[in-house]
Parts: sequence; C-alpha cells; structure tokens
Amino acid sequence: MVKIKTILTILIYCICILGVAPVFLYLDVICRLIFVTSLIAGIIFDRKGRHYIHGLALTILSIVFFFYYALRISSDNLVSPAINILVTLLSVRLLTEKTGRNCMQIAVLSLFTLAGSSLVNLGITFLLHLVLFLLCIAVFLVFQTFYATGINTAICVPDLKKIAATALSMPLISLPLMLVFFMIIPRTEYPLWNFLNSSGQKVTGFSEKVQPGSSTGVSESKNVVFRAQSRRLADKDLYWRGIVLDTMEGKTWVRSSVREHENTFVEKGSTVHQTIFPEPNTSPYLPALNLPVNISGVQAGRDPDYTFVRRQSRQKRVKYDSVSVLADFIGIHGRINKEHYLRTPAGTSRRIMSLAQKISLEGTTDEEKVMRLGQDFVTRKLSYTNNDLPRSEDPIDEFLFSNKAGNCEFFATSFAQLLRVMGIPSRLVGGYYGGTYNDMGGYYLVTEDMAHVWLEAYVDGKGWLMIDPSRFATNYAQRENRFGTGLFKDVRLMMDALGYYWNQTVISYDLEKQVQVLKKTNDAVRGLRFSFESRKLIYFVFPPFLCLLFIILRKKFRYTSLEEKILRTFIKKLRQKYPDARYGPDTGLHDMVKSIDDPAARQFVEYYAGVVYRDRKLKRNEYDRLRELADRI
Amino acid sequence: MNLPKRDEILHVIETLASRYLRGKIRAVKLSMIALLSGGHILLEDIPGLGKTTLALALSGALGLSFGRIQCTSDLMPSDITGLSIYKREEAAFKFFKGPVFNNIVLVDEINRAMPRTQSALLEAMEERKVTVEGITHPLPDPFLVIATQNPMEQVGTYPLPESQMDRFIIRTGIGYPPENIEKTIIRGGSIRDEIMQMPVLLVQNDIVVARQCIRQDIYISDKIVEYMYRLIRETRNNPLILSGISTRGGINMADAAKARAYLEGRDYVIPEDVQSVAVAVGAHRLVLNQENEGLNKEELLDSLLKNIEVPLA
Repeated sequence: MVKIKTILTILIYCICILGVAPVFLYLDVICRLIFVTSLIAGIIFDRKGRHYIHGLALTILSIVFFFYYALRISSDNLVSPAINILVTLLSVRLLTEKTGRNCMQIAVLSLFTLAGSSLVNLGITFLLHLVLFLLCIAVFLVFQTFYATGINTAICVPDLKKIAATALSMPLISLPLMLVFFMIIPRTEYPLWNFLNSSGQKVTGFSEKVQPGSSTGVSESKNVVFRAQSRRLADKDLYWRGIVLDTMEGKTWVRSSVREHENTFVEKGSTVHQTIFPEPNTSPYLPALNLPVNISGVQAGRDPDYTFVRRQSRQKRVKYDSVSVLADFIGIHGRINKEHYLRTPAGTSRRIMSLAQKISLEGTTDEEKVMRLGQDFVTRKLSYTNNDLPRSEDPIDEFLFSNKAGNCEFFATSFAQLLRVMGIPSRLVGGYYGGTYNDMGGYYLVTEDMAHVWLEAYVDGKGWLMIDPSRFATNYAQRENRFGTGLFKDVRLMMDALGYYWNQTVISYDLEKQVQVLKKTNDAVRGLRFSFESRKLIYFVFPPFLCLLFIILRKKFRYTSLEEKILRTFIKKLRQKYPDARYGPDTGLHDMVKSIDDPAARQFVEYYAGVVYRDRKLKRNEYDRLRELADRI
Repeated sequence: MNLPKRDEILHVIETLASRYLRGKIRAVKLSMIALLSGGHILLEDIPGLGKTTLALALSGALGLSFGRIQCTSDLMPSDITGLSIYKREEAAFKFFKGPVFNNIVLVDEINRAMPRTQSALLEAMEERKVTVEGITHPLPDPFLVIATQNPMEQVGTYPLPESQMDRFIIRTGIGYPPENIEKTIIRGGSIRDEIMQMPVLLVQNDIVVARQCIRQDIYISDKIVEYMYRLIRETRNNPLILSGISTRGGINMADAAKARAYLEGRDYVIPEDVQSVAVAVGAHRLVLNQENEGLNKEELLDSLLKNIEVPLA
C-alpha cells in the first residue's frame, strides 16, 4: 500500500528537479544555493511533517527576490534575471507544505523554468528533460485528482501500476501530434540566449591575432568548434586552415587589411571533400582542411592566401562544403611583394639577430636555409608546453635561449621572425591541428584546445612552403590524443554523435533536407536485395495494411442504420422532456415509457418495437412516421 | 393482431387475482405462463401463503381436473402413477389411475418424497406419459404440475437435485400479500369453499388453442435470442456460479417470454418479456460454488441481467 500523498510529493520533487536542471548552470550562484538549500529543506520538512517557515515570511521573501532580480532586467539582459526569478519563486514554494494548490504552483513554475531553458540551450538534453517532465506531469495530474477522495488514501501497488500506466499512455498518445507540430512550427536555429546576449559572448576558436607572451597559460577548453564530415585521414594531414597573419605589429602578429595580389596555384594531389558544421560563433573565417581550394554552401570569398571569409557575419548555425587538396605548399606564378612579408619590428634582440646571421651563412638557397633553421630548433631541444609560458619583455628571446619551452605560438612566431630576419618571407597560419574521429557519425570533432599556429615560408621558385615548427619540439608526440582514453572517450564520442545528429535533424531542420533523407532512405531500401522481388513484397504488405485501415475506418465511421438514427432522436427527445424517467442500458423501450404519460412516446415505442423486434428493416415512410411521433413528444 | 383466446385468459387472470387470489397477481401470471408454455411450476415458499389455494383456484377456473399428492418419505411411485388391482369378477388386473392422471397436479412438499418417487414424478412431467407394467398410459393435455416446497425445513427432506430442478420451467415464491389486502383476507377467512364453487371460465380446448398460437405465431427476434444468449453466457462465465443456465433453460426462457408476450397482447417478444421471466425461469437452474451457496440466486441473476445491454436497434 502506498499513500497518494507520498507519490505526489515524490513526483513534485522530480518535476521541479527536471524543470530546473537544464538551466542550473546558467543560474546565479546565489540562486543555485537557494534552490539546493530549499530543495533539501523542503524534503526534510516534508519528512518531519512540519513546515517551520510560515506563509507571510515566505511571501515577503518571494517579493524581495522578485524585486532584486526584476531590477536587473534590461533590454540586453532579459533572460537571465527572468529565469533566476522563476527559480527563486520555485525555491520559496518548495519550503511550503505540499498542498494541492502549492503543488500545482510548483509544477507550473517548473514548466516555465523548463520552457525558459530553451532560451539558453537547445541541446538534446532539453528534449530528454522535456519528455521526462511531460511523463512526470501526466502521472502527477492524474494522482492529483485523488485530492477529492482524500490525500491520505492509500492504494495497493497493482492499482498504482494501473493508474500510472494509464497516465503514461496520455503523453505517448500525444507523440504523433508532437511530430506534426515539429514539422510545421517554425524554430530558431540557435539558442535565443546567444541572440539576446550576443554582445557579451566571446568569439570561440582561434584568435585573429597572435601575441606570444600575453598570458602564462592557455585554457584547455573542450568546447566544440566545428565538426567536419569527411573520410578518415592520417593524423599528420589534420591541419585545419583558418586565417593567415601576415603583419607584425610590435610583437603581435595580425592580418593586414591590404591583400597582396598573388598568382597562386595548387599542385594536383589527394582531394578531400568535407562538410563542416561549425558551432555558432561570430568569427567570419571559415576553417577547412589545409589547403582548401573551394568552399560552397555559404557566401564566402577566397583571399589569395587561401583564407575564406564569410560575407554575412551572422551568428547562425550553418554548414558548408569544402574541397581541399592535401598539399604542403602553395605554388606561385610570377612574383610576390617580398617587402610585405619581410617587415620586422624594431628592437629584435641581438641574440636573435646573430642566430639568424649564423644560419643564413650555413645555407645557400632559401630552401636550405629553412631546413637549417629547423635543424637548429631540433638541436636546441625546445619543449612544448601550455603552462609557464615566457612572459618577459622579449618572450621570443626568452623562449629560444633561456626558457626553451612554449606553445605553438612561440614556435611559430619565433621561427617566422627568424625567417624574416634571414630575408625569407614568412607568414603565420592560424587554425586547428588534429581532431577526434567519430566513427559513429563519420566526422572529425575539433575542439577549442586544438587551436594551432604554424607558418608558411616563401621559397623562390616553389611558393609558400608549409612548416609546423611545433614538430621540432622534443615532446611533440605527447600532444596527441587529448580527448581522454578508453571507455570515457567512447562515451564522450557517443554523446557528441547524439548531439551532432540532434543539431542536424532537429535544430537545423528544414523540410528540403528531410525530403532528401527520405529519398536517400528510399534509395537505400531499393538497394536492398530480398530473396524475392521487392515488388512482390508490396502485394504481401499492402492488402493486410488496407484491410487494417478498412477495419479501423469502419469501426470509426460505422454505417448508422435508420433504426439507430431514429432511436437516437427519440431517446434524446425523451430525455429532454422527461429527465426523471428510467434510462440506462438495462432498460427496454417499453419500460422507459411505462411511467410516462405521453401517448406519442407510447405509440412510437409500439410502432418501433413492432418493426425492430420482428427483425424487419425500417422503410422510409415508416421512418417518417416515427420521426413525426418523436417530434410530438 | 389476432391472438385467439387471449381475452378469455386475461379474464381468468383478472378474476383470480381480484376475487380469489388477491395479492398474488405475479404468481398467478407466472403460473399461467407456465401453463401456456407447457411447462411446470415450482412454488417455493413457507406454508400458509396460499400455494394450494393457488393451484385449486387455477384448476377450478380453467375447468380442468385436479389431483393432489401430499408427499411423505414413504410415498411410493405407485401412489402417484396408480396401480393394477386384481378384479375377481373380471378375473383380470385392472389399472387404477393415480393422481398424476389429472390436468393440474399439485405436488405438495415435493422435497419430502424420497428420490425414487421424485424421479417417477419428474419422468411423468417430462414424458407426459406413464408406463406401468409394460403399458404406456398418456397423460391428459394440458398437463401442469404445480409442485411446492418449503425452503425453511431441511430436516427429513430430499432436496431436488439440480438436474431435476431443471425440469420446472418456473420457480417462484408467493410472498406475503400487501398489508391492506392481507387484512381483508384475514377478516374474510378461508375461501376454500368459495373456490370449490367457482364458475368455470375457460374450456380445456381454449388452452390448447392458445398454446398453439404461442408456439406458432409469436415471433422471437434474433436480437432477443442474442440478448438471452448473452445472459446465459454470463451465468456460465461468472466466477460465483459453478454451472449456469442450460440449453433447456434457454428454450424454457424463450417459451416463457413468448407466453408473456402473448399475455401482453403482442405477437413478438420484446426485451421486457425476457426481463420479466428471466429470474423466474433461470434462477433455480444456477448451481453456485460451494463457498457462495449462501447467495440469493434470484438477486444474483437479476444483477447479471442488469449488466446486459438491452438491444434497442
């Protein structure tokens, strides 16, 4: 035996947790604390059966919280205070006794909070919470109806199961409806939060300038930057080209606003097609596998240095296709503006200058000089690290000669700067290196911590040669495999694949794509081979299907005979006129009219029974006569 | 609509119920239904409520011969059927008919007779003939047995087995008459003498004609058959009931419903006909589970009936 009250209390806690969980991380710290404490306090109060804080105090508390957050609402900060208000009000309600009214309030507030969470995050977890929430609320509402019979009623477990099953069937029945709404209701393609709070959000991914020595550490954020659907590639080819930085401003590398005209070409090589799904961000640069030759799907322009810039910088979930060639240099016809790529800021340290001079003497051609510099990096035993980065006045000098440890920025900038001093044009390339291949989804997952900088050096007669000086680090191999290992990695990859499909099919849903998927499925089905012809299958599948349809329709729109029709009219009239007479499924017509003093009704019954109980069908004129009698009642 | 002899029969019921058997209209009607449908009736009630009077009045009004058997535990089958006695003058055995050779036979306290005698009687009821010493004697037509039994007294009785209960088309009680009627009856005293002198209201042939009409002309629709069948099926499937209404029970129910329709002046059966006879026809045929033996069979069957939807269209 289980008490209804216990069930209701458990369900209401489930409901409020399900409502708040999706927004919990977006709440203020105070608000989080309030929610957790009042949840625990509420449970304790309920167990003890006493509620120590009384109504008036709670009302005042709610008003205080309301004003505190309401005052913080502004045009660009709308969602956050609203959700905080909802959660604090909910927390206050949790402290009260779980009466029917309070429970309903908690349920409604939770529903609003859950709805509010869709403004913040539209991930697949929202769907999960929503479904669970609906199931809970359906069962809750059904049990809530027991209030009339008394909250302390206890029911036995089989009955409980029966009630719960009935209640659960309600949301299940509504599923088809949900699918229909999914098809027709317009939706946003990114969380409204991003839209409403766009000014406050940082650009994800690589930065548009490289400034070694600006911080001591680099965050190891696992936030997804983009997913690229492509075939599996060798690890050494996983350079995702984003931006080219060609100018040094002091110690900072930036992208100059003037584009040098270069007559470039790419040698024929292995071609890789990718479809890239970036997470929404404000960066106009479209990363793609090095070297991207063509990008389609979004309006983008290609700069001569193979940087693709999006024309419309809208923060929206997009996808684009890229065709890349696995080449390690960009060929140049004619000449380039060497001046532009040789500019170095004043104040290059003496040690760097002498090192450059020394290596220049060792090699004769540009290519040889580049090779020599690489060898020098190797012999220097530089190590790769993301922590304790050099932060002195001249971080490059410190990196090369004393600290000898740094991240890709230090490797690339120092290498590029040395090249420039040696008279070899060079530029930095920013992007990502690596990617975790998701076998389930067939895509590479690229996260923020994979941001990488390498460089290109101009070699006469050949073109822009790609060099990744980070490879010269002693511990370079350890940089691999940063996505965890073993089971943890598998689970993470699976979750990511689920999220990927969710974004693909639900968030950025459009009808055209669904039709395509349908067509694909159709093609796939056609491709299947059965032991007999698939056409024959139609003959096996369709007749039973049609039969089933027919039976269902027949049940639904059963042919109503004249007898049923006139009988319905008669009983309706009789009920209107004589509501106190005996009706009911166990009452015959004669019994119905026995106590009624109505000659027309009696005549009707005599006449009607004479037809029906003689197994005759009503004729049209008989029907009319009965109709007339019924009207006279 | 032509229902021969209906008016006369209604007149008999009217006269009996208003003058001689006041307050027993239901029992009179059911007896008439039993007579018209060719079955027998079992009156089950405590003594002194007019069971015998009912039987006497019925036979008197219908102008039928009447025989009475008072059952005891030493009653022999030959006491019912009759026996052959050697006649010296004729130098041969002569068969003397027993009380069963009458149109209406009142078998009082049938459960006091020993099973052997009971079965002889029940056989006569079913076969409508009696075979004694190799010679078959047909019983008169119409033939109606009105058996009575006292449900309260159980000592020294041989309760009728279920299979034999099935032979009675109708079992009913009589019940106490309404208060004011009972007072009049008490004041007026016994009316046995009056009954003995009551005029004959019907001739034997009238009953035969009416019976034929009921058998041939009263229409019973498929819907009504379905309705009855559903009731029967319910009695068979009900967990409280060990064995439900038999097929013979179903036939009897249809016959009784037809007779009732005849009395109501219709040549077709309506669900109300079934409802009014179902309990009287069906209840005594139910065999309840051992643990539910205390239940009232009438009420049980009535509740089953109330759960079945009446066919209206």
